[in-house]
Amino acid sequence: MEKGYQEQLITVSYQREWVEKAQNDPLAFRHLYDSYFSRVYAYVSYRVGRIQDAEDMTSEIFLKAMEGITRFEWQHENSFAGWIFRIAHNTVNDYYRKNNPVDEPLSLEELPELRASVLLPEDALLRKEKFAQLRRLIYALPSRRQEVILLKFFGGLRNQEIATILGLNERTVASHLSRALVSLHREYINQSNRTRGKEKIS
Amino acid sequence: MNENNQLSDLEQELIEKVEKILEEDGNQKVESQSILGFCSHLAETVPQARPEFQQELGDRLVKSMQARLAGDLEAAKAIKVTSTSQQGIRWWRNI
Repeated sequence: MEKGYQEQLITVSYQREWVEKAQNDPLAFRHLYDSYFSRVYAYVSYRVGRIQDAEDMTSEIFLKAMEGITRFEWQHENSFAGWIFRIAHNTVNDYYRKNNPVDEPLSLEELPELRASVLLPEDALLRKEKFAQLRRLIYALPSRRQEVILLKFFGGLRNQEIATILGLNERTVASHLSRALVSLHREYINQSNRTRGKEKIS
Repeated sequence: MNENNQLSDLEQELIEKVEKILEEDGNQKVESQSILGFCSHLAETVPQARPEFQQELGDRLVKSMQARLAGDLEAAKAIKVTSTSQQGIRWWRNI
């Protein structure tokens, strides 16, 4: 993840101040936007896949956040992250309700770029293939587990915030998370073994 | 689907280790074929936006908010209407 819990641009202790300032200060809002943009974009990209849709959704999410920030009420240290991702979650769900998603494979050109890292291939196209593979695996999970994985790994949310967004309790989120990871890992290994088997045959 | 949400000790341990991986941005050294190796890999596979998109969207949001605060509802409304037009939400591309 680009920003871990401890590396977010705005530390929790300053976050309340920035959020309150952003309610009537466009530059403070811009600061919040810059802090959350990468997480929102990564979450949305996994949900919608296509770069054009990811950009549209991300635009709509931040537009809604800008329009709604005057109504936002601070509750606890993670409430703003929860609020932003509730908007993101609902916006993507609305989009899918209005536009019946077509389950067609996306070409690599349609997918977003992936951040380079030590664990990923150097080649940008190979990184996109990894993303496409992981996204397919995630989308084979039951919908609740998909959401938990995406909000956890790419939204960077704590289980309590995910529970609030999805209307679950924290223990259920933890249960979904652990079982989803076991399923994903099993299928990932199976796919890797199948790929290696094909390579040996050819 | 089994909705039993009782976590076994192993599941609890997995959750705790995943939290640690995420806190450390997936930089922990773990065996690549293990479940934790998979979690590190997943945490590292992060889509990133085009920098010009991020910049343009941020600029546009600031302008829109300035217009709203100045009471220029037409300007703010124009952005909103364009953003949800039937042509899509691609108002930021029309700069």
